[in-house]
Amino acid sequence: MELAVADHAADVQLVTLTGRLDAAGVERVETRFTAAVVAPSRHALIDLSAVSFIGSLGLRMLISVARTMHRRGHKMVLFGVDPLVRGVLDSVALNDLIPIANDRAAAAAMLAG
Amino acid sequence: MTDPRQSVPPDAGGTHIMLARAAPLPATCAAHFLVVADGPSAGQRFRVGETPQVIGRAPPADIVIEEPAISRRHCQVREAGGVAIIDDLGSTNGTLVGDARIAAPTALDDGALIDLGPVRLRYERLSEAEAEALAAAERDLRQAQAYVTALLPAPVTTGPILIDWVYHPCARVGGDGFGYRQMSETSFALYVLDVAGHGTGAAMHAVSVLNTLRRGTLAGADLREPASVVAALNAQYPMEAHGDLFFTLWYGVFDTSQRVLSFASAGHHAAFLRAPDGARLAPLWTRNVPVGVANRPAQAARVRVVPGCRLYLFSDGAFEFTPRDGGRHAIEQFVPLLTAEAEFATPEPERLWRANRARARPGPPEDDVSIVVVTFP
Repeated sequence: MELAVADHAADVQLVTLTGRLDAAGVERVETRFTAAVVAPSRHALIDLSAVSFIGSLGLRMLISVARTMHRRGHKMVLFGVDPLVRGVLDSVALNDLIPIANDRAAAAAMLAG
Repeated sequence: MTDPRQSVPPDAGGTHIMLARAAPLPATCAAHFLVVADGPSAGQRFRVGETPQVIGRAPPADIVIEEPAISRRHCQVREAGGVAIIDDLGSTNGTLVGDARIAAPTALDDGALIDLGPVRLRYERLSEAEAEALAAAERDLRQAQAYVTALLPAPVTTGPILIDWVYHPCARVGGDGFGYRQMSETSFALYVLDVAGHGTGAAMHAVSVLNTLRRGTLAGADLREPASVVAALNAQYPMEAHGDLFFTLWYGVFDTSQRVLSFASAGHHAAFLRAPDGARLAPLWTRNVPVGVANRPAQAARVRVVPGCRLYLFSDGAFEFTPRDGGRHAIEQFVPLLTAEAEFATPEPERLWRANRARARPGPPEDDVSIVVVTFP
């Protein structure tokens, strides 16, 4: 499980996750992911296109971070979700909590909207 | 003799631990452990003592690690003079210490990585106080697990609905729980929940919710209405007030006179209702976020249940695991098992559990596995 951080725009962080968000993957990445998304105090786009699997702990990680962002008045949008992962996200109605866009442009538009 | 740890100022924080580990410990206060470094058994630890212990893939090895690439008698470990020593016993795939195959008894440095085929172990040397703290945490975990197990109801073998189940907690204990109760002459509630997370905290949260549902009263809820139950649990268990824990829930109520099952799932995958012909499955799912995440109205649905139907309720541990050939086993692979032919003299939940174990990588389950099968005669 890897994580990369870049600027999408001056006030938007781009965080890319790569690998499997299973128990071991989450253990490896959770602290860094939380810090990378929450600490900069700006909106965040999360690229999930290279995440091939998500388990319950991965869902918990996304939900916890999204709640913290919401409390701080920042938005977080997921995009590029693999169809199998999307099935899992839909089964827990995740997009009632975290917006999910098809691609980065659509995700950025959601931040603006 | 001065304990080297005493020389570190108490306010040194993380540095304190690093120095304590780096400093040689007096032999009398060191406890030696091999810890499984990754895979489904990660975190499992074996204490190494003066009596030599054989590590192998099957009994009578003292330390059994179920993995085909490990020999029956693979290697041997013991402690001598405050040092742990490992020796290969002529294993097929060898014993590697720090990536080098050993040919003679080898003393282990603290933190050394040992590879036995695909299984990686880490050698840890702890003080007796650290070892005791670990043992206490392990005892707490087992107690929490015993508490969950004690709350699970007995199978139901007579009456308008029949219920059987299997429950296999994983080593770290997930947050699974389930239950059912007759609420009135004509209504019967059934539920499965899964707290996101592992360990004592998750297990105790499951206990708390199970006790709430078992009591048969829930403030602000009509327990015969699944949507009302999900909404009331959301109000009662907001994650910010419960250690950041939330849970998924499938809750159903069967009306025995109308033969209608009302249900709501909250962040939980579908339960499946199998038609009497044994071939057709209906997923029973409603769109709700997990309980504790957001306080909002819940959606429920209803389905008619004709005689001969069977309902399968399960936690994600029942389908989410690493198969023998690698990759990932998901719900899409599990669901076809539900329409497979029953096995003579094997209870249905047990059949599913065994089928899963035959598919999964050897060793203990990666997550709690709960499978509840309800038959509607």
